[in-house]
Amino acid sequence: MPGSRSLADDDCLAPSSGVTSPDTERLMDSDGAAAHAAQAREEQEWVARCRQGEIEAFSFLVVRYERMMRSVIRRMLARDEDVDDMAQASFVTAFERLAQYSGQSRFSTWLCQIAVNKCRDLYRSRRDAGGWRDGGDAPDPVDDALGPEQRYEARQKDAVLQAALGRLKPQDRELIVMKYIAGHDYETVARILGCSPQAAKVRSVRARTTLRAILSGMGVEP
Amino acid sequence: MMKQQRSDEARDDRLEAWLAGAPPAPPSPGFETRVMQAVRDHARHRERGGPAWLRRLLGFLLAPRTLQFNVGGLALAGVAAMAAGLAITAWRAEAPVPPLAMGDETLTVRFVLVQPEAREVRLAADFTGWQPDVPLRRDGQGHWVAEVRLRPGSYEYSFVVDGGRWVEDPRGTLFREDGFGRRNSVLTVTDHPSAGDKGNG
Repeated sequence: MPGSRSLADDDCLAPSSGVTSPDTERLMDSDGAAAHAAQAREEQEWVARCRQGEIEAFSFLVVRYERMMRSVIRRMLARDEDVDDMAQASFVTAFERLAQYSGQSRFSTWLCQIAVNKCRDLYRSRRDAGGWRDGGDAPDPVDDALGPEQRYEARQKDAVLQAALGRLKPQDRELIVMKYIAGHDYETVARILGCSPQAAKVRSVRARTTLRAILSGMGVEP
Repeated sequence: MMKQQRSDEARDDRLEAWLAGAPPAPPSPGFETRVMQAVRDHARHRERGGPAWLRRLLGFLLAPRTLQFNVGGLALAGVAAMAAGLAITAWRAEAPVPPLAMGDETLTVRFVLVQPEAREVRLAADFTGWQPDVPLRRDGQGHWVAEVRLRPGSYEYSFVVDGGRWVEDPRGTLFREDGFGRRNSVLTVTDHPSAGDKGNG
């Protein structure tokens, strides 16, 4: 998918970085690698400051990962009104457990792990695979910055995608979201979902096939 | 065969590209501010409890307990103790309330929070060492309820929703500034029914 952007790229790098690879950890060029390394150092510094009691340093991490977290959580949940609460709860949990963050994975990976666990807790509490339902009077999901035509297309696509994701099993949905929408590589997906990279690959084939069939049934052929 | 495989791969590529272009979540004004407020609240309440080992110790020592006395059993035990020349007391811990001494008068206070969307609600108060140790149970109508036995006195409390959000009691009538820009709800337990309990209960 040359030229496409992913949430993993978008939110793990400054917006102006211009990195367009779909799988940053695999296809990163030297500039991208340097940018990621600098970013990782910066995040380690923020984490260290938080651990030393400087709470406000956590806001840098919130600002950097707010959009990524809200976007992936939104695709994993049915109700838009749950998104901010789940994202907030995920950040608070991350802050609470900051001492447990080893730094071996990227901070975004660790945040995604927390978000997935929060969403799973919500599925379990509602016992209905995320309480999926039609959007109803949910707020318009499309960015105001887009032009009218782009807005229309984006809104259509958003509605189709949410409806299709809602028909997937939660474990397939998590995989589609982390692999194809957030744009993580298999190793990272495996780490986030708590399975082996091989299992993530096998499950992704199954999830993709199921999603394609669902979309086809809705008359959508990407 | 090869042609079919190429066709499938092309379809997979198109699907992946379509998914990668999914619109991100729209901005949520004030999100960072709300998160940081929740983080500060969390840190503040954590600090109040001191170091983790101290909080665990205090949590254990201050864990509210109910002592129930079986009068018949106590009488029999008294007889047995006299006979043996030993003092025997029996006690049994059950629901969460502070330890009682004989003669203490306690009242059952019901804490209620209406929060249909919450997944978990707990009570944190000065009588729990500000640890959210008292879980509220959901009654099926979005009401979260816990009953705690308290001695007459004044108590400060707050609800903790979904593990991180500290919520003052919307039904409360008294509040006290906590010195960090937020308020705790205040409950006054009195043994005079005419005076009534001020606060949630």
